[in-house]
Amino acid sequence: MITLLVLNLLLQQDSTSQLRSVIGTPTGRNGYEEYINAAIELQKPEFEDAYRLVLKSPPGADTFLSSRIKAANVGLKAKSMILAGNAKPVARPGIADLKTVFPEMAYLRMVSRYFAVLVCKEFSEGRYVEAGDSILASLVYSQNVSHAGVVLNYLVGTAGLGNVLQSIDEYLNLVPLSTWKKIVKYCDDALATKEFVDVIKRELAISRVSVEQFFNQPDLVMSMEDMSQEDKDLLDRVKALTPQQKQLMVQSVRASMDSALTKLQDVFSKNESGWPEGMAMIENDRWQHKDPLAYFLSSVLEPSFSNVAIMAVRNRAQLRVLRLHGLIQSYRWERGVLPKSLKDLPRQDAVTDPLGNGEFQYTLQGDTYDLFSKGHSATGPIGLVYKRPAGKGEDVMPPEQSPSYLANGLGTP
Amino acid sequence: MSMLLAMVIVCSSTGYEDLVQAAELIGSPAFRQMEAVLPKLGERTWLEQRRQIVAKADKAMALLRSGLQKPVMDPHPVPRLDTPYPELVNFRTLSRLLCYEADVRIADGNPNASADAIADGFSLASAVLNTGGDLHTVTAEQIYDRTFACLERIKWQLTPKDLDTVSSALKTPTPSILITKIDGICKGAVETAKQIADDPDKELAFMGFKEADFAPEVLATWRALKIEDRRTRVTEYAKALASAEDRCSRILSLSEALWLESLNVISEESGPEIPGATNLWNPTSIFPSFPKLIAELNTRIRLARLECSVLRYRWVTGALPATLTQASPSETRNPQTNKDFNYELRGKRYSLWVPSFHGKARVSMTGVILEDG
Repeated sequence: MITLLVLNLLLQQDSTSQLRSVIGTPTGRNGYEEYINAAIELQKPEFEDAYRLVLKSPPGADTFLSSRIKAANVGLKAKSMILAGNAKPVARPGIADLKTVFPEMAYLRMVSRYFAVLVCKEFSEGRYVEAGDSILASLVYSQNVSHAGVVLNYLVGTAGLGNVLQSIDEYLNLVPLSTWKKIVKYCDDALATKEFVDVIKRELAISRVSVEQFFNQPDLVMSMEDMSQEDKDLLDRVKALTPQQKQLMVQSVRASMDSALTKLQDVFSKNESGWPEGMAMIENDRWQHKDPLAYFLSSVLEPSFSNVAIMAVRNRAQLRVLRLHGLIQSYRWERGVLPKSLKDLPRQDAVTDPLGNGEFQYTLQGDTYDLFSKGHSATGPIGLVYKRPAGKGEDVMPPEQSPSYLANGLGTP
Repeated sequence: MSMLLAMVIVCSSTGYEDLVQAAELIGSPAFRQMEAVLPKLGERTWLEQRRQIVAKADKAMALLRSGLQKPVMDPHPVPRLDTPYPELVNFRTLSRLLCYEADVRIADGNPNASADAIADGFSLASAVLNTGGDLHTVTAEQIYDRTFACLERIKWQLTPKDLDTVSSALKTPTPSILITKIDGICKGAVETAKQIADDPDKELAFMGFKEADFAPEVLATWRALKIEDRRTRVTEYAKALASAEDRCSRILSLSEALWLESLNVISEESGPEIPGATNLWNPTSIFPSFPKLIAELNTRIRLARLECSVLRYRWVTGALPATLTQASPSETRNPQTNKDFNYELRGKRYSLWVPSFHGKARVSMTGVILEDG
């Protein structure tokens, strides 16, 4: 993915300057600007010191709670910035082409981690409604980051979602009824859209622009640290191409990208359980390229469709699990007991698990319960907190056919 | 003045008066009806209807809290056996209301208010326990039962501050309370005996006894006595009772571990009886049962305090303690057995209990007897 390629090009600036460069001239209308401000706030040495103590205070440490309270207090301004950002449309500014850098990603991840300590503090102080609002704000934030730009945003937003869900899992029984109702509503709205498709489209659009750029500035890709000798040889070939040959190559790769775009719309219109395989089939189309250089460009510049699809189905399954937790916990608050089975819940539409092709798995165990989706063969079971089983979540399926040039050692898919 | 208030000798500036006024407010037929139709656990409007009843009871709750802030004293200086306590039923209702309030507040995300309601439940139980005689004791036990169950239900949702609030309301009754209570019961028995000596027919009728309750020859013997003789026998009865009371008091001044065994000795002795009225109540029969009840309450209160310590530790460190000593170094030993309370950590859950008196089952904070194994 281009965004991963250019991560290697981060400027040797201090973090605050790098973050400010993302915003450029603030408009005041883009929530992403507030998110960056929050990230800058959390770059301050006082917060870094406080958070260092959090990292040294895992569960069981005497300073577990005190370290989190301190860090939460030091970074408190970040919360209001995120709330302000959540109230506005959110779009990552300045994404143009292959040269776009994304220095903010690690720092945006820190914002999610900050919310985890803030939620701990608010719950421990008995401010459950505020803690619930923080959870919701963190949920909105992570989803907004996911959908604000390209696939790299999606990766960071997904990681942030993981932080939120971890917090919810820890404080499941403490989240008040009013918050659960908001969370259920939020999940309903989020599941009704497929904003991640726009993320992929955006990434493809930039890739489309970048194909030409690649031929003009192949050294951008050459800077990849893990590039093989074969790939470097291939790039040397690029430099030797005539302008007409380059133009033909650009057209070929772009046609492949356009085809992928059409096909992915079709894939995402079908049941979620078929998304990973459908996207893997689009990846397979790269092998239709007759020229190894075209294949190489497609594989480097296009997103890893199957991995994005796996992440998307996982995220949606987790949102469904979250919604179901919300309905179960609301039932518990309203009736004083946990439901005996999912059939007791008032919303039967939420009980169906499109990824697992059945119902969500619910087991009542005294005053607690287990809830998860059976998931997909590529993901394994998916709960509120997702742990990828060994060997899952990477390649969806092996290629059914391999172009001959792969056997010759040209390119690395 | 209402019926209920009129039946209680109102003693100004004591919290008992406020408690009775609170009880009066929730004693109306309309309120009783409202509570009678409250949905059971699992029903759709379980929370909503509790919310409504809590809102209706706000004045009663304010009075209850005002009363608990003051010293609570029994307004009956020397209660007789037939002294009516109509307020006790409503005290139990008040404790149920506190539990409803705890459920509603925690659902609304206000654990502090929920903990306050639970703490008030324990304070009410303690206040009732510290006043009156056996009826108050039984009522207090019922209030404790209900409040322990409520705490068990929401203990995982309370914050460190809340757990401290609850813990500080969990006070073990002192032996002096028992002694005072037993003294009150004995005085009440003697007072009743005196009344019966003066006018047996009137007093027995007033107490609701029927002639059929007594062996005819016993009642006839009693009636046949001259009033002076009846009074003399009552004086002898009072002396014997005082002696038994004295022995009981001495036992209660010993350590808790020695209470039960020693009091069983007293119960095996035949206590004094009102001569000629053998079917009348003999207060010494409750001498062992009271300390048994209080001893079990003490255990459950100590277990509840330990629960608060364990859960507080979990907040502070992010993990349950591996041993009780980590959570509460000074309260791990059960003074009744001189052994540590039993604590078992199982993943993200734990069990806290003591062996039951017969040693074949487990007693937890809620008093539930868990099966062995």
